[in-house]
Amino acid sequence: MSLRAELVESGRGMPGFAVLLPDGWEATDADFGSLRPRLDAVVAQLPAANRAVVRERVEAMLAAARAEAARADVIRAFAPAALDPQDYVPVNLVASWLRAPAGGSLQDLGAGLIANRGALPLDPGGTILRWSADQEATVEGGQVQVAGSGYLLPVPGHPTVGLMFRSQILRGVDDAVLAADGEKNLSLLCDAIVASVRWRRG
Amino acid sequence: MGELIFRPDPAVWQVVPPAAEAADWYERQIAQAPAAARDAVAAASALALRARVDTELSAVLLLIDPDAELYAMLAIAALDGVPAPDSAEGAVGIAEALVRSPWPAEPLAFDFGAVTGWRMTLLDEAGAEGDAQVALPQTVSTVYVADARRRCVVVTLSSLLPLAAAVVQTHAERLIASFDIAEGATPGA
Repeated sequence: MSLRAELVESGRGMPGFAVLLPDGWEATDADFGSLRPRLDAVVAQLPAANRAVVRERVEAMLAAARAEAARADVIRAFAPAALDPQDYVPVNLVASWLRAPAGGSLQDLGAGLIANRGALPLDPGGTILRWSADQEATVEGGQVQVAGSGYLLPVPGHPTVGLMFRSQILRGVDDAVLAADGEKNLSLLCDAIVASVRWRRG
Repeated sequence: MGELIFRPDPAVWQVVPPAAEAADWYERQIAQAPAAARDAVAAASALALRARVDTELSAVLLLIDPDAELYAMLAIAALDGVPAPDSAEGAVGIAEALVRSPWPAEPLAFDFGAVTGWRMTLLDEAGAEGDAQVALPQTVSTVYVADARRRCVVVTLSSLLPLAAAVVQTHAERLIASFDIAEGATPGA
């Protein structure tokens, strides 16, 4: 079975949903096929001598992202669609299905997130759980700090499956740090996107 | 039944006139519009007039801001002999009957003192991008179901981009907060 078929199969039977994206954002399929024209355009802007090396790196990154997407049951990735590197906004939001371990329910998963990750309700109705998910990693010898949150929503009619969102905001690389206001605004923007989710009526 | 009265901010809203004054009003709209926005103003004004003439609405208000490319219409219906719903479910039922959407309305209660009720935001299917799994609506509609002295008043805000809707909702809510019911008063006075 192809990767795409596997991805489609994993989401079969799950209800559709709508989400409001800010102006200038786009949704990317889990196979990242729609990213191709944009990546090609970015690579084409580079000096000819660097293109082959960069293209090779990009292909490797895409392959890793596709494998990760398949493993994590990714539905879509959402991000600003800026083509010009000067307009780049360091944020993305990934939606995936989260399945409770065998014998468990999504309610158990939620209770675990509250107890272990300090998850709190995002909305007045308490249907969306949100928890902090900051990360720090060493990439090619440099320190990369990624701020972010996890979000979990119940899926109507599927007591063992949740809709999870994971936001990632590039907070800093080594000494270059995103302004606190910028990080806060991007975080609020991700909250608003997740809060806009509506399930299609059956 | 008493008439609905309200106080629109003239810097924001125009009250669309009845049929007898429609032609003059429409001509003035076009004449006052900046040249670059004339077509958009004409279209918005024509739609507002049609809503005013073709229905039994209590009032139709128009917001025109050519500089911001913002055009919004507010349709107000004070329902005779209909008590306002006393639950969010009742208000959602009214909103979903008025604005068809495959996604449920999201109710948010408001309390402006003498006027209470719910604001329902609905995602518009028309123009939505994406697919059956993940739809990406581009616009939202807004319906207010208000209780003004036990009378049900339904206010519908035209379809807008989400950011524009957020701005216009604040104007609409200031207007709704001014609602009152008075015997023998003139609508919009």
